[in-house]
Amino acid sequence: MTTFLTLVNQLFDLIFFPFRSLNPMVGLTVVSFLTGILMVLVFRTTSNQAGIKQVKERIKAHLLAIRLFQDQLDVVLRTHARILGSTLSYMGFSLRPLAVMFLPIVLIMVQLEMRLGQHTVQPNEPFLVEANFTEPSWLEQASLRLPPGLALTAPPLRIFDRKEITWRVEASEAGDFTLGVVVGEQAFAKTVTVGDSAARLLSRKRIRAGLVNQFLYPGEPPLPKEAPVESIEIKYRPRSIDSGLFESHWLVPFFGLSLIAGLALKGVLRTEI
Amino acid sequence: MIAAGSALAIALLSPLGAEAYAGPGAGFAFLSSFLLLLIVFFSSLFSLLSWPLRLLYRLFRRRKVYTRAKVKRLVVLGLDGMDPELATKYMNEGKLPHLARLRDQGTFLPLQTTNPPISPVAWSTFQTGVNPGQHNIYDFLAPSRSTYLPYLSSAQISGAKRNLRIGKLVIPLGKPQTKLLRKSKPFWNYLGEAGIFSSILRVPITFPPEKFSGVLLAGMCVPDLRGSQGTFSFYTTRPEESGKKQGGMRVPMRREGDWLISHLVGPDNDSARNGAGELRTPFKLQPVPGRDEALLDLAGQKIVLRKGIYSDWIQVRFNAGLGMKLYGICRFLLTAVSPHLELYVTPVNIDPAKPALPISHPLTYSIYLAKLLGPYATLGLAEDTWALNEGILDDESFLRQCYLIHDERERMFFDALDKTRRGVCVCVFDTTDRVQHMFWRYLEPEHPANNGKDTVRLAGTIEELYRKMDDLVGRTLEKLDDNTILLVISDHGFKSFQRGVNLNSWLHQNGYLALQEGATESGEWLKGVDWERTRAFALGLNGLYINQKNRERSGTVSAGQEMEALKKELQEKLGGLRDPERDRVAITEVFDRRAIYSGPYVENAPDLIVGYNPGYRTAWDSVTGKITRTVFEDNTKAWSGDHCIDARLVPGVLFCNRKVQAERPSLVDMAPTILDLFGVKKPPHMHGKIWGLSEATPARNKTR
Amino acid sequence: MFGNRIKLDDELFRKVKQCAEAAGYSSSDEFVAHVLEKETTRILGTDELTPADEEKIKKRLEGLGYIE
Repeated sequence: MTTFLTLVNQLFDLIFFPFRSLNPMVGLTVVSFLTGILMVLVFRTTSNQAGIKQVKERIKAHLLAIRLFQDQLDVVLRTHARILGSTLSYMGFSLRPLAVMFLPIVLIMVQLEMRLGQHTVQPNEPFLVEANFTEPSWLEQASLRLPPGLALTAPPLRIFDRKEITWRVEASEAGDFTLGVVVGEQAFAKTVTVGDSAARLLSRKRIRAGLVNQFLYPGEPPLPKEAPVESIEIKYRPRSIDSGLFESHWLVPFFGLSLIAGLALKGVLRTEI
Repeated sequence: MIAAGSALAIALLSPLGAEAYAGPGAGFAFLSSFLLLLIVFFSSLFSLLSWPLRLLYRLFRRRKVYTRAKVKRLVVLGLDGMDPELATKYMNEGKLPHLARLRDQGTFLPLQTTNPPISPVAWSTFQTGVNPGQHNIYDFLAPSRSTYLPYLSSAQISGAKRNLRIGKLVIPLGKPQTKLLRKSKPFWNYLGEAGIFSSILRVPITFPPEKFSGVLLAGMCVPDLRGSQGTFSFYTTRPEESGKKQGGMRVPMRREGDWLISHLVGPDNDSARNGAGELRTPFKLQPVPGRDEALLDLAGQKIVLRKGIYSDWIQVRFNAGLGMKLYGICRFLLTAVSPHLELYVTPVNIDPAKPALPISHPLTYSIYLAKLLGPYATLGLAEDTWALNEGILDDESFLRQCYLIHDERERMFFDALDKTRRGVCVCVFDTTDRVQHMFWRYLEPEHPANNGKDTVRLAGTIEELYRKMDDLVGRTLEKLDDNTILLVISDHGFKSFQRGVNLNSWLHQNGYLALQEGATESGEWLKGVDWERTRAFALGLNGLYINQKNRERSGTVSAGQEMEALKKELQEKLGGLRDPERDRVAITEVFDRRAIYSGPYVENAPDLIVGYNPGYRTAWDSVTGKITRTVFEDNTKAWSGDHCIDARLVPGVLFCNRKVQAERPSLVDMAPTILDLFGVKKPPHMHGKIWGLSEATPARNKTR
Repeated sequence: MFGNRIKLDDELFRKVKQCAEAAGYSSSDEFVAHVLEKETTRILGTDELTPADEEKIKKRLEGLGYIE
């Protein structure tokens, strides 16, 4: 699993590599279009194309019927019921491609979130490191080990109810750092990226091993299963993307562009959606 | 849509975080259905809210029309050519239980037809309630007075209104103009004016469709995409036999590696002057070695054709230039694979989903049916009798084609029945006519058309046909309530066609028709006739025309006394004409048009109408105006039954689920009777009688 | 329907209605159209057909089962 996710990371590194010095919108556009094509292809291969076509035609027929037989109320009402029925079966047809598409799409979105979802920490700008523990008792023993270049700017804040410690840290220079949360004899590493905001992988959270966790946070290897630390998180600032028209979370242009790509290419790819 | 998608995404995905992600795939799939639901919701709301308003409007407009109606709904099931004698025979043998029940509990009577008893004439009378002198349809074709050439009597198609001319190119702007030549007014127009809805399916001579309040799909005489009445195509790798003329269209195939390359032929290319060829759509065919199959590649659609099995309807597109496209549909049938590949393609029908010419009213009705039921045959005479006559199709393939079309028609009919809760629903089924035409010989061992053909295997076809129609009647009855009247009718009966009479040859031999110097035969459509010396000619199925001065281009007979004398002479000589070979009367009577027609269009009718005895019909050559050396000849074509005879001898059927009180009910009575049933006054120009119908249904319709 | 209109005086219109009914037309419109068609053909004559037109007309009849 870890190997697979590392491969995915590298694949996306490769995709974003040519655009690393450009506006992040460029890379996002490319990925959105590729996603659109992927979705159409998945849709075509996994759905009942003939069934979809038929049910869509039938819905259109019913819509025409409402106009053709408008003076006969009972016909119009029955036709409406039929449209609802057909729409339900139409939605039914998209369940299978949806199920198949779900995991790959999450994989893509996780990658995009890591690369476009947040700002890196800037030098001389304080940021928070938050660690969650399995038992409140660990909190007393835990401390933060900082490499040269990073320094604590306030005493740690321990919240026992939430089994959580928050440290305020500041970097004096740009670069990739690794800090450690030390609990007794063991230390757990976490990366921090300080510096420019190019579309590179930012791992916000390192989390304990588990299938779903790993899938959602593939930026760093997971914490060992038996570790007392549940997760270590750097509170990067969320980032907006300027699409030229408006500023928004990357999800908005991604959603729009992949839809446009999908709809534009469904004809070329001979796919009923 | 994208904005809606984004809005949806934000609504779904905030607060942002990986856990809350739902892919755009979801939006992708749900978006259109979501929009659809919105549309449906609002349109439902709209129709519900506006219903009382529209109801008020209608009440105001038609002043409680249904309160004057004696019936809520009337269904007319037209079974073209069903014969009362055969029906009686099969009913008596217990083979038609539903029709027998109608006979026993309601009505079964012969229905008098028109003279001549031909579908376009008869169904025109059915719909308008007038005689041919008032609706102007006397045959499928009529001769032009100025050229002696025939034209289709029911519809005129001409090029687009305006053309764009650029150098040698002529680009038509807009669709071709169509004009219905049938006159007078169908009863459903009167019903519509009174606020009564009608669904009219495939009644002959309804192309191009006229406006009225209801829905209509045009029937017999709707052309194919080429503008003809149905031209099939035939492809083969077999070398052409020289000197053998063959009907339909034989298109060559070219071999290229594993593939056979050819094309479908579409309409004439109007964008080139001087009629330079027709539009084409290429296709490829790859026989599958060792199997009775071939792979068809038509504009990227790949379809496996299996020998003897019709393909589904396949959409074909013809590019007419300037981005104009014409859509048609056709079925493919692989009839042989080895030693030579043979492929039959049905005439390219107008695609009902994208009609190149209007084939329904409103225009969206044919589209609606196509979307609901899938593509269907739109050609008027959809069953390809020509291909069977030519031997391209065998009996089985022809029969399968008929029933494929019949099944489409049934689905349409039952949908129309479902959609017409009040008002009139009419549907004409042609299967009965076409199958009887082509399989009649099986009923008569001595039929000349049997020579060299199977007479055993499909001997039960006509009986099976009647059983199927009975079954259709049964299923229809199940859908009807007590307040619905069902009429099962046919426009004419059916008789044998063993011998053909070439009227033109007779006219020639008896000195009424002259050929150009030295000729003993003529070409098609009276080519080679010496008009200056000709007094009479025949064209079409029952019509005889006098070559009248100042009417025909080279008329020789003066109107008035000379004309009357000549007509009388011909009536006397031809009436009772005997077939010397069989020693039987071939022609029972010849009618003067003034004796049988009245109305403003009598002047367009043939001067004389020939009534044949059963067993006889106008010979094939005579219909197309060809003079040969023989007057009487055996009919050896698969087309072995017919009804173009003395109208008195081939009445149709009238079944009803109520008792009909009428003496000698006739097709011409139907329109006024239907109007009367819905409380609409009979217009003064309709001369038919109004039948009395018993009040309630004598017994429940449903059988258990 | 709303395209072209022709004005008739009341007296003539009354006669048109009367004639239409007497002659067996379904409406005054049908009567007027028929009379005018005949008259225009008489005055203008019919279009001469080219051989290509003749072929086209014959082609339109192709496939009519009763003649093939």
